[in-house]
Amino acid sequence: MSGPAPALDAMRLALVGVPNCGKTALFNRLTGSRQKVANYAGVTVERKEGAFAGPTRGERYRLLDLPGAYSLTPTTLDEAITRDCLLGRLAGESAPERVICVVDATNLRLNLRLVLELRDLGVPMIVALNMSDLAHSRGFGLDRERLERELGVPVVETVAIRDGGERALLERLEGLPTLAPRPPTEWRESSFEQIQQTQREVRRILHAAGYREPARNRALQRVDGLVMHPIAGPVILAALLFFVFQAVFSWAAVPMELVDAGVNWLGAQLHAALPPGLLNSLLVDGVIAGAGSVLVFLPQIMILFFFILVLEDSGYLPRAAYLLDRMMGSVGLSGRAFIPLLSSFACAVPGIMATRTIPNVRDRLATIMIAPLMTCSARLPVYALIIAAFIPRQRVGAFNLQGLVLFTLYVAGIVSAMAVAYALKRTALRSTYHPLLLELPEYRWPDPRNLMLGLWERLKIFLQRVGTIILALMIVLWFLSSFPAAPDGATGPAIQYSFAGSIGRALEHVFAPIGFNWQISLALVPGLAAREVAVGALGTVYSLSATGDDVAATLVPMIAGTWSLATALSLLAWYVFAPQCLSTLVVVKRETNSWRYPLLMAGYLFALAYIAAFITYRVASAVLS
Amino acid sequence: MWQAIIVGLIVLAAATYAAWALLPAALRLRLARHLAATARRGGGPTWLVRFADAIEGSALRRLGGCSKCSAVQAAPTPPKGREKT
Repeated sequence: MSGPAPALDAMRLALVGVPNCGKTALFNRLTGSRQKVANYAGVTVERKEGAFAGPTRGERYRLLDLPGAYSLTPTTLDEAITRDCLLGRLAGESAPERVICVVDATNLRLNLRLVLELRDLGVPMIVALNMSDLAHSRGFGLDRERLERELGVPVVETVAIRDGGERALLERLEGLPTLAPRPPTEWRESSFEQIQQTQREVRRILHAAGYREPARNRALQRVDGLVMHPIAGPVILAALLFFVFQAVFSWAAVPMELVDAGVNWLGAQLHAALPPGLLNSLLVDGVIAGAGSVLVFLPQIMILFFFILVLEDSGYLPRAAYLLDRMMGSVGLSGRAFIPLLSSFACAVPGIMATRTIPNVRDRLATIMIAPLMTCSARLPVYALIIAAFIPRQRVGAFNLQGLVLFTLYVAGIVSAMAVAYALKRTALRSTYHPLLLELPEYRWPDPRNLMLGLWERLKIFLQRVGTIILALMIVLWFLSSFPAAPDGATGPAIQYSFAGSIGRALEHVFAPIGFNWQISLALVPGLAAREVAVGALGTVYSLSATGDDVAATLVPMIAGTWSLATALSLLAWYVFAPQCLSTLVVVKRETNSWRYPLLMAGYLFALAYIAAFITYRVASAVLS
Repeated sequence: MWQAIIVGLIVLAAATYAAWALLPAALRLRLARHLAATARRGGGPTWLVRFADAIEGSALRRLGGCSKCSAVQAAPTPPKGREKT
């Protein structure tokens, strides 16, 4: 939340509209917030709040950004949030005093039904014709004043993505009357006949207001024909994803070397500046070696998110959902599962929350259960570390071998998710097939400002994690790895005699069959807090295990020299399934209102990870020996 | 000796923070509210009350992980006519 702090007596406004009409962009414009926006339906799945002041009278407003809804009769959980909020049914919260109904000016026919339903609630309302610039550029025609008279509420044009695009809205907002909203009990869901009547009313109003639908861009229609083609479409999608993973390795090489050099330089400076002792060891072996080894992967994460943001903003993602619907349907999943699963590539937490857009409960549960199998960005540092240590930096034809391996790991996650979904949908979560109904947005050039803001947010989140929870865990791990000190006459590195050494050796009994040594076994424990912490833990443990000149060496050559290839492959297989981080399990509990599903999830993922790592290790050992 | 004291304090702070950050959000909020109420009731020094209030505020902001609003404390009421598991 940003903008001025909301006063308790501030007027409560709700932003309502169909999905992907620009509500969140308008929310960001009015409040100065940086909530996520993208060019597809279902980005906002929960109620968000911000504040702003009116431009002339300085009246204070609390603004609620609600999930998109096609009508007040919900079919999904996110639409239910919108209905409950508007009707004052959310616990401890009254209904909003005014409503801003955002409509997509390029598609008024679809938007007006909701406007009419909202008008019938009796809450003072203003209609914002958003994306009006785009609509005008395509020959849109409308008598706005006539539409105002027909609807009986003010109608203004807005361009949420442009500076000043909200001015007309703010001017009219202050003139709205303040009335007490109707009590919730007065509202009833529309019957089929009432819905038909509303649709007839929509057509009548649009005709009366001289509405001329904007024409679609012919060149983009031709592009769509190719992108959505049953054969060319999937080929383009596969090529696009392949290119992204190639770029993650190829483009990140130089910046990663720079970050690595910076971290090593800082470590060397601290090592030289501080007198030998505990503080020196804590800062060099704990903080720099631990948190620094995670920081090195920042360029790869930024490049991956750059591509995700470009695809989100362009309008391509819902097309990919359409292309993959047949594949999803073949394993019993709804095509609507695509967006939550795609979000899970960033992090499983928003992915699981995005399943609220799936109407069928069993489809939703199946999607929640497989979401963690999508390779989240926290797994990228682990993959990148092992690939850098064991896969030579060479080309196979036109391709970068390391990028090829990374692509294979991502595909392995997707294939596993589909296999698990197939098993779930044929057993515990059996349900009938629901055809995919999806609104395809217009193609758009990605907005550079939006891209930069998105990358900046990712950068902040990553650095915040490194600087808080990862740093704290590395310090704790350093303590566990340094105490108690080695006994007199000890020959091995001191860490072997420490608490961490003892824990690692105890865990080694469990993980030795899959090829993990005690250092890896130990790193898996803090990795439960966040997966990338495992890399930092390896950095600290190996830094403390090293002697003499090795102290200055980086993690990559260290593990390359001490692990076998079979162990490295086994760890990669482990991380394809890797048991959940704690925050994911907590979100699953919250979204399903039960501990049953998170426990089931943790159990099945641990079993799958162990079996996959075991098979990989045994087969690789046999082949390589 | 001074090194051991500084390192001890850093490790203690890190362990406390890690334990706090990894607690489930609802439990963290309950603990923070209890802490703030105890500090206010006990009539402790102003800095302690302010510190407890800050912790409570921080726990409120962190509620829900990716989201911060009250709407996500629990899943919303399912829409009418939903299939039951």
